[in-house]
Amino acid sequence: MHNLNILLLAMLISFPEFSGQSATGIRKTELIKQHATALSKSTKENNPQLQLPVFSAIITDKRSADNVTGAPFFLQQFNRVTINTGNAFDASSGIFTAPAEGFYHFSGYFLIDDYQCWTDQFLRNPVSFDVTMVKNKTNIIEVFNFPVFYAQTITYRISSTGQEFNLLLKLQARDAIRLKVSAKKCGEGREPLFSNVIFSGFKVY
Amino acid sequence: MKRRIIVLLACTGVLSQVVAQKPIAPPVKVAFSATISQPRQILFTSDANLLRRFDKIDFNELNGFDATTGVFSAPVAGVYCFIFNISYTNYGCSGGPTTFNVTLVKNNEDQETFRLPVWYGSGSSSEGFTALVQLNKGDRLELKSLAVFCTQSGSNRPSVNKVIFSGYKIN
Repeated sequence: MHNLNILLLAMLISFPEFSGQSATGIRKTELIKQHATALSKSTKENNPQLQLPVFSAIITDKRSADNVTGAPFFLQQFNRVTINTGNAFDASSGIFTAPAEGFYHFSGYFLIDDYQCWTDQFLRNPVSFDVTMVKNKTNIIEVFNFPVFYAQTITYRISSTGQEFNLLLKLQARDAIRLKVSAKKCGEGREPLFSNVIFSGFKVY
Repeated sequence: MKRRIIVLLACTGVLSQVVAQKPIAPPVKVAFSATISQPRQILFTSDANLLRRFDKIDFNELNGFDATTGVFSAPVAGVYCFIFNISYTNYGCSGGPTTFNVTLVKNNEDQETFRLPVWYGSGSSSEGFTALVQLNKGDRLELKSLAVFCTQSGSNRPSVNKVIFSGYKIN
């Protein structure tokens, strides 16, 4: 019986998924951590896959991308971090700091209100919802001009449209990645509101 | 006795796993990212030349990507993730978006067509897609485009402003 206990313990260490935890959401992160701690240090060093950082953070409240000045501003104060293996993402500042040199896949999703106006301005001065990926405070990696939909009239409930981007980057250790947003309201009561932001990323190699 | 044999066999299995836990070889790194940074006119036809002649390569581990032809040749077999980003002028129709179709072509066979929306008005919009593709060593993957004609196009000349094509091997 004693042997059987040892066997079961060994199996739980070797195969943490046998512990009956669900492999969804945050639980999945815990599984990865458990697996990592169960292995010896030398094994971890020889298996870089176990050390790859993964993060996913969300904004759940409605915010405006027009901060009056018209200048892009950093996306900060994420409401919740659902995955943060390696603790490379800071929810307060919205900064992901690369722990090591390598290739990183980033994704961003924005639910943007359909606040576009149908005026002459629409043709001459288009309204877009701009998301900028910034490296190390000032280095602009990419600007995404997301289209903003036309809402029939503000008396109707304004609907929202999801837009997303994906980007593969080669980063050096300690490179800091974050997002800026900017958009102009197209008329009174038509604020560039956005909600349900998901910013996520992981180290590929 | 029977149970002891079973436990012994099971233990042997676990032990052999522990003993056989050799260092795992680091993954073969295959990753590329290339950019078309200068505006190009969009022709309203199937265009196999538009998404070629990339003028900037950010990285190209194992040299799988050919910037001139726009073809990625898999240096090793595996599942690959491809990321496509494009920015083009809003040359769509006033009644609703038209589409700019981008097709993934593997070994000269169409795999999947992504119908990216083109909006009406001025300025430009960013669109894109990601796709997972299984490739054998030497398989060729490239892109071709088909811009849908729209008689009510906006005042801007239909053009691609920027393209980023990236990919990496997942496993």
